[in-house]
Amino acid sequence: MGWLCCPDCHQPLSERSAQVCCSDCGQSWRVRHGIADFTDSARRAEDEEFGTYARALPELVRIARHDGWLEALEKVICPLPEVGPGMFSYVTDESKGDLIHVTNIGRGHKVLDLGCGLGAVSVAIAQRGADCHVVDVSHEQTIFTAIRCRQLGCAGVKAACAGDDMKLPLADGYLDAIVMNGVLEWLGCAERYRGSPEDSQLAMLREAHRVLRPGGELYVASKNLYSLLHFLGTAPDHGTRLPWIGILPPQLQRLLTVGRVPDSGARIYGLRAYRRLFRTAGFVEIAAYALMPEFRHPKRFIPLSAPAPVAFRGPDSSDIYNRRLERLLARLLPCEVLRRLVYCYGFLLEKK
Amino acid sequence: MSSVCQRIIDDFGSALGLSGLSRVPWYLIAGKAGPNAVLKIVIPPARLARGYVLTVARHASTPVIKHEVSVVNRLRQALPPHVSESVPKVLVHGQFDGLEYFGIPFYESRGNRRIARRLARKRRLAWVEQWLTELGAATRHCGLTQEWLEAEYAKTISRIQADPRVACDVKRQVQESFETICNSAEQIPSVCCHGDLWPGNILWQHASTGAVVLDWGAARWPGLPCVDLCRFALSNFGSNGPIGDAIRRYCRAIGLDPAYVPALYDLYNVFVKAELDVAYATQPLARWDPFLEDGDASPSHKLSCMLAPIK
Repeated sequence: MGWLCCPDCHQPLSERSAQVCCSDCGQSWRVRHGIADFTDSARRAEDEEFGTYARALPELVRIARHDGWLEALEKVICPLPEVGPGMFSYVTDESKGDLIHVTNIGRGHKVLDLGCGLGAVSVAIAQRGADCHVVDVSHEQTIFTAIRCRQLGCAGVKAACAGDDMKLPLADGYLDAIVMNGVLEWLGCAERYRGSPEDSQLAMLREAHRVLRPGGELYVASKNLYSLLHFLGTAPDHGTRLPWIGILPPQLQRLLTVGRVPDSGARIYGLRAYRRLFRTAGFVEIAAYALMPEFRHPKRFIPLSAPAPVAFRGPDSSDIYNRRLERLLARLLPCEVLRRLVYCYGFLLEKK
Repeated sequence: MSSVCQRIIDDFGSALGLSGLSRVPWYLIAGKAGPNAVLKIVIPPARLARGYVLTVARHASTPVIKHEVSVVNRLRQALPPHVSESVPKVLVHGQFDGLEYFGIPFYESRGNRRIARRLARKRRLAWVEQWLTELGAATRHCGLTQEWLEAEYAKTISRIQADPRVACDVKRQVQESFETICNSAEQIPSVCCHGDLWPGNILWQHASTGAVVLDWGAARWPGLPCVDLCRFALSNFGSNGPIGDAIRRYCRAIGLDPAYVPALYDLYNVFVKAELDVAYATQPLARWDPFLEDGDASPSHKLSCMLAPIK
């Protein structure tokens, strides 16, 4: 636990009878199954009351510990009616971890997988030989990731449960790199943070900036609000999550729906707005990538600066364009337009 | 600060003596599942006279790169010139920060579409049959050996026998196929087997140059005969006409009794599925179907043959 520090005053923590304590501000947090929990667990228990996925997580961890992580996914996640096989392929798809090749992550680097979920990216980071740290708001997901990494031969993954208040229990300048794969858009859903969804995203980016060393890298993958799919009626993970209306600014969405559809708190942006957000948080962009067909199952990482017409029209684009009109437009539109309409972006940012 | 991909490209460029390679556009193709997964860095021929494709190991422990380079180099030496043209030349084989890679020239994939419109699928099968016959003739060796079969398959087969997910009739079928091949090992010639010969791994060039066969990572030399032809025929959806004839012609050319083909294909198929561990857990095993013999090759029949659950 020596790598953890107080999320509020950033002083080192001491471990005492299943608790970690800050000697400076006097706060203490529980340690469960060897993992410190900095979240508001009582509030999260209320949130997760109705989610069958969240309810299944303790069983997932139990089976993973005894029978193996893959067996646990097959037995617990596959039969879930909500998520089912889609979640299984999402969690086991190793191609997500290939993002480390478009970053500078190497052996011995201290890397944080922020919002690790069930550990698809964490495994790739650990197998690359980096000193892998994982943080997630779900205690069970964090434990599962640590178990999965250990069973795949990557012992020594450091795990903590934190982030629902947009604070990280790490010292200033501690990390070499942070990966946020499909996390940024959901930060506004955290109820413990009092600010607006946009504020919560900015707060977490600033926190990431704090814990990175100068020259450290942040990789962010998120969805594009102005993607071809959203223009053609797919509901975006943004605001009210209504088709077409969801593309509009949240205030306008509230006006059009007369406030009847609640704001989910999820926020995604277009290319320019993402860049503005990262600049505000203090990052400098090294590269931006179009992730084809999407970041959950990426098959191509195409630098936006590269004139790669073939890559934008690859056969795997049909994985995401299901309707005839989508496929037709994806074939007819010029590449310069297509690169602005991709479903997902990945950004490689640097702390100067 | 440059990414891992960019630094591999720089390393490749310096090995080739190309100084301008660090500024060229590129993109990354992510790997698939399995312990032998590789990534591809594609440098299209935009500003350079020719483009390149770098195949990079996903992990430091991935052995497939060394294997593929070795097979390709041996093949290019062993095959007659007009056949070896279809095997891409390895320009650089190197290592960067523990990740092994090799680079080959970029082959224009738009030829694929153009030729697809022009050539009937039947003619594609004819080209593959002809090419495999020549490959088989050049790499043919008299008879498989019991020891080789044991070394290649016994471990995988015992894993399948112990796996509760695999249905009993499939286990029985696999065991029978293995015994059939083992009992007649001397009568079955060994050839170089590509191991993953589906249309996506063949880039159709202009008629004069034929085609280029990519992805030799799953290749075996010595390997099982005829399985590449079966694999191609099964995945070349919608091909017309009987393919049993093609198999018989191929068998005659390399001196193989066609009666062994179903058992050979079963063995190969099981091996491939078992190697891809994640896919093996979620996908059912395909089994040999008599359609290859009677020539009934309707697309739906073939798809059901490949994908229908066995359990």
